[in-house]
Amino acid sequence: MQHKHQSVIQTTNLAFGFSNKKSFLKSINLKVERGSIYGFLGPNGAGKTTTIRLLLGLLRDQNNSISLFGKNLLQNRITSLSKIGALIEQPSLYEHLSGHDNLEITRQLRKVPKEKIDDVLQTVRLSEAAHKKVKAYSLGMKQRLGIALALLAEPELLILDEPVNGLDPSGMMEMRELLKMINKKYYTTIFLSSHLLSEVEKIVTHVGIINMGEMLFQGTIAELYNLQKKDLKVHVQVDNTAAALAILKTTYSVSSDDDCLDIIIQSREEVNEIIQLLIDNNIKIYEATMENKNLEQLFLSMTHNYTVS
Amino acid sequence: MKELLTVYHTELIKTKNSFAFWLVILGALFIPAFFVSNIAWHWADYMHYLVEDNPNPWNEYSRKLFNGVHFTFLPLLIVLLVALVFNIEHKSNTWKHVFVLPVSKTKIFAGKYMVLVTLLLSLYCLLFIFYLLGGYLLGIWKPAFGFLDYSPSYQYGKVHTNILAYLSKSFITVLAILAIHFWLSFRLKNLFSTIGIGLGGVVLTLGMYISHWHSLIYVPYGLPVLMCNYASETQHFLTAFQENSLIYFLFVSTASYFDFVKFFRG
Repeated sequence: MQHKHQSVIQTTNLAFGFSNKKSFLKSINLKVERGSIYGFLGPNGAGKTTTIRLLLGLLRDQNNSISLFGKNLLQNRITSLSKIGALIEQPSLYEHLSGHDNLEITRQLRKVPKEKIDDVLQTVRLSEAAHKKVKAYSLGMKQRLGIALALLAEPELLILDEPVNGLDPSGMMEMRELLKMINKKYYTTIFLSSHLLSEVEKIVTHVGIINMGEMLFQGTIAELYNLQKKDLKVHVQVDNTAAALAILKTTYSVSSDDDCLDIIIQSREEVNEIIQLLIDNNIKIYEATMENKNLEQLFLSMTHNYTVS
Repeated sequence: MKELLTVYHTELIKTKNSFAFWLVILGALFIPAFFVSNIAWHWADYMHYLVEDNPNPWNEYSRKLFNGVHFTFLPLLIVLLVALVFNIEHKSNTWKHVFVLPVSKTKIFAGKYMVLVTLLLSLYCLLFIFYLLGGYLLGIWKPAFGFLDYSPSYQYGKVHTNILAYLSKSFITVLAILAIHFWLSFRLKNLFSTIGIGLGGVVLTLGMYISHWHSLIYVPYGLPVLMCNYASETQHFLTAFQENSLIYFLFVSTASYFDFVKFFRG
């Protein structure tokens, strides 16, 4: 029976250094819940790939601080790996072999039925190119084959390091939809790292932000947005900018530009108040849009100014 | 055991379409083709040479052909073969994929070794086939050579060695090089570094061949060279240099196993 809130990944003060003198990762406490899509964010060099390599046992965790599926990684390496599908940086593909042969190698080692190869090829839309050599594949096709390899054994946990790297916008959208489908259909927990924040924002349920080897934030998307309640902005286009400015500036922080006004508010409820105020003063409103501080802006402000305990 | 055989099978799949696969065929063909072409081109000289002291032409044909194989060619072939097999992983950057599969590193190590031994045995089988084919083709083309009148044989001086026993002992002498380059090839990602080290070993052998012949039995790259003009001993199945190859193989393989399992991360 699946326990909905059981942590699939849990680290306790995970630390790592490439040399004895300096610690690169400092006290990382990850907690990834089953069934979530966890976005692991950070600028380049923050420690995302290093953390992922530690989670998969590709780097040695000296302090034994990683648990996968509730069990210690070092003591249950093979069992844990049998439940994980991974894509780390560039897809690991044998380019002199066909896509089908690449999948066949993994299929045999993961003891998966033969029929599964056709299933995953269909899922990633590579059925027609399956018997071509991988060196003839485009970057997007290679990325999809990498995902197919990760999906082959129907893993409980997918670990993806920069899965949309090198993809064009349509490729990114396809990848996004695919991951959402996998999470919804199979209840697969997805742990993905990226520096493309605008992409991650569209699919994740939980976020972890790392910078310079330290966790700055971990929680749901809603919790992250709640950290930045101030500096919401309403953009309003009116017929009489000067009059609207005069009405609003007594109560709000307002800036104007030709026929538009930008009004800083504290909560969404104030939008209604502003519109009502303008209507009551016979100001015609042509457009009113909310400029949310998106994840990218939040992230930038956090990694420059913020440390959340 | 079943899982080990699965690993072995997947390692074999990886060599499909690879240059390592073609090197086995071309490597086994090269010396026999070269030598047979040379005999065909200078057949009049060889007619006298091959049957001069011994009516069985196979004796001199075998000795000369296998001398050509063992003097530097075979060591370099082994070095290149091992390097190419590991280059499949290095070039594709697939170690990170291999090590996150639910397979123990022991089985991965064993699987790679089994594939290399398979390729090496295939090389020897093909070498034997091309050796026989060369002799019989010469016999068909020029019956006067006598290849069709006698059985394949290897003789140096007055000592007769069974061909299959000769090839088996040759296989043993290359195991030391196999073990050393197995270790070097997974540790060094650069293909040319491992080939360079092998080339250095062969050059050392050439230097010692002239000035320190008797010390060659301790140099792994020199052990195949000692199969040139080989006269088997009657008292022991293996001679000292063949035993040395086995000792090198056992020690180096054990050390490389521990390095691979404990420390190697790709």
